[in-house]
Amino acid sequence: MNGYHGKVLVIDLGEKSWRHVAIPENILRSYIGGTGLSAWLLYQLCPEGADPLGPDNPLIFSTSPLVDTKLTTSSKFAVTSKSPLTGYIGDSMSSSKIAVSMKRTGCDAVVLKGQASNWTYLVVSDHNVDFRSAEDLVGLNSSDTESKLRQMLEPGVSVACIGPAGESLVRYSTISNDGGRQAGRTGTGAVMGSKNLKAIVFEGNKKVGISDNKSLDAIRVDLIEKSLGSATTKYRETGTIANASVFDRLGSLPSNNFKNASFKDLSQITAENIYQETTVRSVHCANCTIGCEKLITDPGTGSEVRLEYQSLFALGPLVGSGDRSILLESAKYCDEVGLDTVSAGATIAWYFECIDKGFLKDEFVHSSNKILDILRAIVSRKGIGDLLAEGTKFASATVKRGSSDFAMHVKGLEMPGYEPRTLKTMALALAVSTRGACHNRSSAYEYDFSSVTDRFKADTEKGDLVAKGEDYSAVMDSMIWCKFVRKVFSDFYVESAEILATVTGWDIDAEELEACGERINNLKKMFNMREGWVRMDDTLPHRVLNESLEDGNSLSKEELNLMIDAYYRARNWNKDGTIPFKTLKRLNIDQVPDVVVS
Amino acid sequence: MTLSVTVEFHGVPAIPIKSKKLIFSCEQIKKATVEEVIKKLLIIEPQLDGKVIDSDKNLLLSSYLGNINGDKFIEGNLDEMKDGDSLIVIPRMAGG
Ligand code: SF4
Repeated sequence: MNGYHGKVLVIDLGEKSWRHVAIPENILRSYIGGTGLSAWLLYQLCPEGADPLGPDNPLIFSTSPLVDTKLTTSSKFAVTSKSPLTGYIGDSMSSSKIAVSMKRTGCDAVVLKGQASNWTYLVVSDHNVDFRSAEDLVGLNSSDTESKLRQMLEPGVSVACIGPAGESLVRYSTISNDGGRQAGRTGTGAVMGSKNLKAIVFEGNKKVGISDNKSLDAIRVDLIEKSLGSATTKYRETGTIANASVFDRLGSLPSNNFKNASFKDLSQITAENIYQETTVRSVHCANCTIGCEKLITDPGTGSEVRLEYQSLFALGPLVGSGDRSILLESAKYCDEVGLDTVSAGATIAWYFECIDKGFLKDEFVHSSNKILDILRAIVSRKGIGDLLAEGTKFASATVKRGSSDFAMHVKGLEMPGYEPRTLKTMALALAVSTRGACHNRSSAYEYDFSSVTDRFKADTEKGDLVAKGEDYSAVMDSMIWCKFVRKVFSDFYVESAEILATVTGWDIDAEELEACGERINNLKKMFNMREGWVRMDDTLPHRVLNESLEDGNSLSKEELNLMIDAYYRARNWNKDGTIPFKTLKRLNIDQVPDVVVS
Repeated sequence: MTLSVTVEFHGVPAIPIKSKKLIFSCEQIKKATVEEVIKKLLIIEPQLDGKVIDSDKNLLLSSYLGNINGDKFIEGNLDEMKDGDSLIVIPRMAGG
């Protein structure tokens, strides 16, 4: 088989055992890799009702057929498990050399099961899995963990690890890898922590075959050239932080816990000012020619901080802070300890509002100066930090008193920096996404920021757009392309199918590839249905549906439901959002769970 | 009759020019197309040529998007602008 090893490495941490399991080619062709393959593995391996932080919840790292092809932006991997925030499917992507190292150990995915009896780290090579004590690594932040492991092993090894946040099972902790990159959302770090697994080191030399190397070389060169063109200007020049002033102007920048859609104190933290007043350095993930990542030198500490828009939004406007040094320090801290900045910011914003309303005794005052202290309390689970470490869904269910009305999450995953009341396609996508309030699995904002649709109008055409966006994103996340390269394709499915055919030798075409996207999204939904999903889970926070913005923009429950109905129709689902048998049959999803209504 | 139009730059396009907002007037007309506004803009800020504007076509470069008053995204340069309108120039969105 070309492009794949055709094997999954299954590691049982409780039993300290491992084995390779063959994976049929038709499954690889149906689910490709990345989030698609890992969704299939999760569906097979996660028992119904498994505790997300218990030994039965598998933690799955998956690569893709493009990993190790040196195509631009292709060194990516996905981490998937049942999310401790949502109780539904949770997946997260990251990019770095580790994707290549993992694949070179001779498998397409690694499944971690069980729970180690003591803190452990794994050394996975192409012929062995070594279980080693991590007692000396416990308490170390992610960069120190990586450095220490490299000192102990070899300087070039690839490391995925959790920081103190994952150790203390903060529900929104991340998995850090290769110098501070994060598999950030849905709490995969907490799942890793629940397994007493501090780190995984990958080192291997097994390469897969490529069906047509010569054609792949030509494609590689062509993509490099295109990736340096106008389609990626924003990413190359300022990275995603450029979004802040744009969204602010368009009334789409959520601030003050989504009370407002622009932010009066933004000036210090716009890309424009950051570029004028600080030193910024671009860095690239492995095999990437774009280099969207920006390291900003914090003038206060002199250290470099990785900053992207979602962190800027969540630790800035969302918590009502426009202070650049607080933003940089807190973003740096989150990366070091392994906290998802979006969920962390949203939880603090909720906490500030609880303080203002007198719902919680003010262990901290509502002040930007306290953000870092609150983050520290979350990681150590000291005092109020113990409650905040649970995320907004669980914390508001504990506090009650109507605090869930301003807990800004969907299904338990905190909202990213897109204002649903002025971005209606995005609003629908956030409501129906299988992983909760997620912007990345649909890229629906792209339609709103274009002439394709009226972003202020909640109409039925949004249903089709979101379904299309989700399928397209599922293919991107399974092949795996970085989302930031997508505009270099003039016909995404045609060109991607051609590339997949060049790597694997399959006679796959655009239509088949598009169907893979639809299949993957249906399978994710099936997982959620098995875990108890009901239609009312597809919704938006109370504040979004009941409070208008200052400029009068709003979104009612009726308007959202109109769009959700249209989305279910576009998906060929039942009115209640369940999947009819004929849709599963058309997509060749052969395992039909009991919960499917026919 | 003088038509006064504002052109605003946000994010990446704001970096080559120091000012975020340019306000200028087109005289003797009631309304102008985006193309006319872009032509006028190039006279005032010639350094935008090749950085933000394609002067051969009087269009924004494909890496940028135009929006009128925060309401409507434009395609091409034929949309009309009225007195008091703002043309908002932003980087083309593709994620983040
Ligand atoms: S565009 Fe950015 S996130 Fe994507 S692969 Fe390149 S550096 Fe990494």
